[in-house]
Amino acid sequence: MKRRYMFLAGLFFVGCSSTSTTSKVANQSLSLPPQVVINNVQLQKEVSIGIGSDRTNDNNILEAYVDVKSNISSSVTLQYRFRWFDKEDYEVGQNMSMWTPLFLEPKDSIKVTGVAPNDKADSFKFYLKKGN
Amino acid sequence: MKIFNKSPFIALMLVVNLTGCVSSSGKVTRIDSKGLHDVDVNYGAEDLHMFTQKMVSSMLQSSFLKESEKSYIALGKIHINSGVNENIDLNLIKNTIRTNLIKSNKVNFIDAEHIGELEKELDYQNSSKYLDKSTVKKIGGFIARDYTLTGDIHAIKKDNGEILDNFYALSLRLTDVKTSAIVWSEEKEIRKQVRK
Repeated sequence: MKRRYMFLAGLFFVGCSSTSTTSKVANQSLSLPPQVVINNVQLQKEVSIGIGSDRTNDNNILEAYVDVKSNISSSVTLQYRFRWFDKEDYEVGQNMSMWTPLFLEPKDSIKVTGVAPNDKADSFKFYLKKGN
Repeated sequence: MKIFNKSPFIALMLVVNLTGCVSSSGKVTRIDSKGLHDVDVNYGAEDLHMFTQKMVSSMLQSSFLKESEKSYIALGKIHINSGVNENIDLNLIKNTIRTNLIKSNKVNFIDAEHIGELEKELDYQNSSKYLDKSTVKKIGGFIARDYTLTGDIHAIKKDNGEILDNFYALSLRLTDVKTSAIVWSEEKEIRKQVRK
């Protein structure tokens, strides 16, 4: 009886360690643009992200363009969020930085536009995660 | 305690039952207010944020801002469509949009909703003999609005017994008081479904 429990416990720990090793390797192998944050390794494989050149519009407000392309052959619901930072890297306009749903058809791509909340914003980060 | 020795099953059921009671006692959990946490298809905080973000972003992209040097805007009415049979807080929509536009440093707002109170205060200041005259604000300094922000909200609800489908649309427009021209307009649609 005791041996059986030890065997099961062993299996449990082996399972845990092998999972974490896999995700570590996957994280290292996939490179994303520095502005992009995707914490889900599987999602990193399922989409390709391109960052368009950001620009300051006529009102002196920073605008960001991000291309999100699906690499899979089924529809997917995602959520994205822009976060904006000033020259000193302090976040600005947190109130205008909410998760927004994004619907992607199989193998389709979509251009997502973000508009900074004020003219203090100098850089941005783009967050992507799986939706409901 | 003897009962537990006699019947481990009863003891187990008691533990499970007590655990159930603890978990259903309504433990409060703090969640990210900017996340999407839909609990049903009715209008909620997520929809408010989506409406607000779209409207403010659109206005900050609008060319009228460039043409007018920090204009003065006043909030007008947002009309609610008669088909909307749930409580949508229009003041919250207006206040959130106004707050985020003020924070953008690109426009000013006239406090049109409290203009009566401000008039009373000025009347009081200018008629009271108890105030230090050097601190009294003179009548005639109010700034007239350049633009009025108004809008409409509509909802369409469908229920075929299997699927509940809610559609919301908010449209806003900015009207130039001098010319009556609409200088900016935006619309945001939200649709949610749930299978019963």
